[in-house]
Amino acid sequence: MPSYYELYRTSTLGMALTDSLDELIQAGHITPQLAIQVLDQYDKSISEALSSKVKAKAVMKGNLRTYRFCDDVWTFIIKNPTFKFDHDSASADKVKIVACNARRPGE
Amino acid sequence: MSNSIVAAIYRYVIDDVVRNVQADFEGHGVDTSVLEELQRSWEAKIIQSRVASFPGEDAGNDIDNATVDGASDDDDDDEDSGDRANDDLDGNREAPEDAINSDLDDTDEEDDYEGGAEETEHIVLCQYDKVTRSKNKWKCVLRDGIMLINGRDYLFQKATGDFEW
Repeated sequence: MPSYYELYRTSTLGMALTDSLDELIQAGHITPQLAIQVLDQYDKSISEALSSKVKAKAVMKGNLRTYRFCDDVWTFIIKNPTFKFDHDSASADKVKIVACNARRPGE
Repeated sequence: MSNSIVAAIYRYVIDDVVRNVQADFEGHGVDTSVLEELQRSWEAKIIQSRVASFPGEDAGNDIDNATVDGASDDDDDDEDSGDRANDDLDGNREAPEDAINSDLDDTDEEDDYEGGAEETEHIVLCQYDKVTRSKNKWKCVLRDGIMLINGRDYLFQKATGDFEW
């Protein structure tokens, strides 16, 4: 069974799940092994939801401050980024982009 | 538009995860009530972070009001100790009325403190199809991403990036 990227665990949804699982482990209601199984399932659910349920497209522009390519993962720090969506736009003073290779699903 | 979809996607992911781990919970001999507690705790945290609008989020507003009140109390103490320090350094016995003017400086600190609680890292988690560079112009083709910008979540299936180094 192919594994999925654990990258999305640091998103809001993933961190909320991790925190909730940690609370249950601290209370002794679940074991760490069960928590890992839940997170593995989360990796699968979020990956499939993003690739099949989301249709939105975005355009990003900005100044590339730093870039790093290590272990097949790109990390960019963008200064003064602007984001454009279908009916929305946003900007910030700095953003970090972490991108895994789309060609391989896991490992 | 992608922000209202976020709540629906999160709802789907939460339900999908809970449905699929039910068998794992039973295998470990853990009661279903624990799974329900996990789901409730998970949803509560998402609503609390206010990255997407969910129906029925009354609890979130109360927590925000409490935070604001707490911060104000702390700042009053800072003002008093700051004024006393200024008087000692100057060596002059200035009237307390002059010292009151310095509270303008403390107001800035108060804003920073409250802003710190809402601080977002502005991050994009995604996968890349292609990353190319020409001189100092970088072009990225990205897919399946979650973005956290200005305290809100955005999702995209495809994105392009044009950056100058």
